Amino acid sequence: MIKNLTLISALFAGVLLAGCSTTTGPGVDSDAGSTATGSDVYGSSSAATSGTGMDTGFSSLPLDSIGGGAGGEIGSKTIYFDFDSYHIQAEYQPVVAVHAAYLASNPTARVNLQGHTDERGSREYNMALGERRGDSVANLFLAAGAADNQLYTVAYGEESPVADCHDETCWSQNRRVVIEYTAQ
Amino acid sequence: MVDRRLGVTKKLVFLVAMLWQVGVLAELRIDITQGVESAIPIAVLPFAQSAQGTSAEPGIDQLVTADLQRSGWFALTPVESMLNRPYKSEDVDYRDWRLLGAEAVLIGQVEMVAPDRFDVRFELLDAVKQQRLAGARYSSVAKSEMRRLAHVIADQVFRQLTGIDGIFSTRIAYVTTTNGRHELQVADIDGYNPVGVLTSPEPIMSPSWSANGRELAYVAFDQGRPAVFVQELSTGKRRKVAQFRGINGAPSWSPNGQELALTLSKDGSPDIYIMQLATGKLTRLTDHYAIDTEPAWSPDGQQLYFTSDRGGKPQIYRISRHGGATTRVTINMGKYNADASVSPDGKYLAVVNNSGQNGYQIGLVDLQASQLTPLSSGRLDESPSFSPNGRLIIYTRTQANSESLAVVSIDAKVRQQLALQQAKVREPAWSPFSQ
Repeated sequence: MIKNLTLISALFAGVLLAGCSTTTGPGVDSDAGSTATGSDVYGSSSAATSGTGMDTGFSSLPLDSIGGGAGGEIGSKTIYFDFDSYHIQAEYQPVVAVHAAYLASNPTARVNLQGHTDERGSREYNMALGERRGDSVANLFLAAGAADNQLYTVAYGEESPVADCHDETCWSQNRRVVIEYTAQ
Repeated sequence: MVDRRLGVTKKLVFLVAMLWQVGVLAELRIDITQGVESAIPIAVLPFAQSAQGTSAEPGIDQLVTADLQRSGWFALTPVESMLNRPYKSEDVDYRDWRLLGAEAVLIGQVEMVAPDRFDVRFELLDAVKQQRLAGARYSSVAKSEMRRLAHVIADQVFRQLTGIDGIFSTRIAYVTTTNGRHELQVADIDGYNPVGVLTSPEPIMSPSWSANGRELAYVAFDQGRPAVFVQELSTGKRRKVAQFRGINGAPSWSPNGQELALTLSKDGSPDIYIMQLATGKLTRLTDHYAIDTEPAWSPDGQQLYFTSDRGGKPQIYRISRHGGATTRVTINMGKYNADASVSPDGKYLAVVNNSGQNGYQIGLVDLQASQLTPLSSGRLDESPSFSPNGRLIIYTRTQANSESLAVVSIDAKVRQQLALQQAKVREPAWSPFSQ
C-alpha cells in the first residue's frame, strides 16, 4: 500500500517538476500548436503559448483577383452536398467548370480543396467523408484538364463548421467543399 | 454486506451540484443526474486531525464522500446526525451506526509529522458483521498529494463494498473549444486538476491513451494538414509520427504499448494501418475502396474493430491484427454504427448508433449475443469511451448551445453530466488505471 502511494507520489512530483518549465522539450518537431505542461495544476498561469498553426506556408489570394472572364461566378468557391453524399449535383457543375478551366489554362495555379461535413455521426468517419468530397471535386478538375500537382485535398470533417446550430439550416451550409487558391 | 450487489430497476434521482473552486483552466462541473436505488448506506466520519495543522481543504473524508456520492452507488449518512466521531476501530460502538442505518463505516486520521508532511490512516468497517474490511496507513504524504490519496482510498472502499474496481483515481483527456481556440486537456475524473496538453487555432481530435497512461496520441493540424502526434504527458515532449498525404487520423494505442493503429489515405482510400512506434514501420491492415477508419484493439491485441461503409452505410467490422478476412459485427443493429470503444473484458462495444430517425445515440453492443442496447437518448451523441473497470462509458452530448460530457453505466442506471462553463468540451478518452 505504501509502495503504491510512493509510486503515485513520484508521478505527481514529475508533473510538478514539468510544470516549472514552459519549454516544449526536445523532440518537438513542430510548432503548429504549442505543448503545455503541468503548471496549471496549482493555478499558476498556463504554459501554453499561442500556436502558429494558421500559417499554411502558402499565401492565399482572393479568387476575384483571378481573371479569365469568370466574373459571373466570382465568389462561388463553395460546393454544397447532400447528407452522407459526395456526389456533386448538377447545379454546381458551372462552378466546377470555371475553376477547372482556370486551372487548366494556368498551370502554376494551385488549390486546396477543403472537404467539410455536418456534425452528425462520428468525427473520424466525417473526416473520411470530407476527403471523399474534396476528391470528388478534384476528379472533375482532372477530367477537365487540371493537373494532379495543382490539387490538394485537405479533409476537415465536422471540425470547422461555418454555421453553428443543430438542424438542417446549419447542416446544409456545413456540408461543403471550399476551393482555396494557394497560388495563382 | 461485502457480497452486496445492486440489482435495481427503478431510478433514484438525486441532484448534487458541486461547484468547485476555479483554477486557471476552468474545471469540469459534475452533476449526478441519476443513481441506483438501493444505494449502500455508509457513514464517512470526519478524519481526526492533529493539532499542529491541517492537511488540506477539503479534507480527505470530504473528498472520499464526494467520490462515493458522485458514483451513484452510496447513501451517505449526514455528518450532522453523527453523535460521536471515533477514529480508531476499538472506539467504535457499532450499535450507534446501525441505528443511523449505516452498513459500512469509514474512519481515519491525519497526523502532521513534518512541515507539509502527513501520516494518513483509514479503516473501513462492516457495521453489521462488526469487523474491519480494509485499512491502510500512508507515511509522509505531501499536502499536494492528498487529493490523489483520497481518490485511492475511495477506490478501495468502492472495491470492498461493490466488488468492482473503483475509477476515482483515473483521468480523462478531452478537447475544449472556446472562441475558435482548441485545447487538449487532461483532468482527474472528478474534473479537478485540468492540465493543458496542447493548444491550437486548428482542430485537435481523437486523443488515445497509451496502455501505461503516460502518453497520449492525437490528431492535430500542422502547416494546415492533419498529422498524428504522440506526446509524453509529464514532459510535454511530443513527436509527429504520421503526416502523409491525405488523412492521418484515428490513432489507437495497442494494449502492449508498442504499436499504434491509425487511418491513412496515402494509398488512395482511407484504410487501417498498424505502425511500430519504435521504428515507424507501417503495415497495411485493410485495402478497400470504401472508407475504413476508427480502429480499436481487442484487449488481447489480437483483433481490431473498425468502421467501414463497404456495405453502403457505416458499420463495425472486425479483422485479425495480421490482416485477412473481415467480419461484419453490427448486423441488424440499425443503419449506422461507428467509432467503437472496446470494453476491457472484450465482451462489449460502445458505438455511435443511429437506429432510424431519431439521430445518434450511444449503443452498447453485446458481442456474444449480437445485440445492441441504446444507452443514451440524445440526438447528437458521439465519442464513447469505456472506463477501465468496464462499468461506465463517457461520451459527448450536444444540446441546444452546448457540448458537454456525460457518463452512463452499462446497465443505464447511473448517469452523470460533466460540463465546462463557457466552452465546448468533446472527445473524451478515459485513461487506463494508474500504474
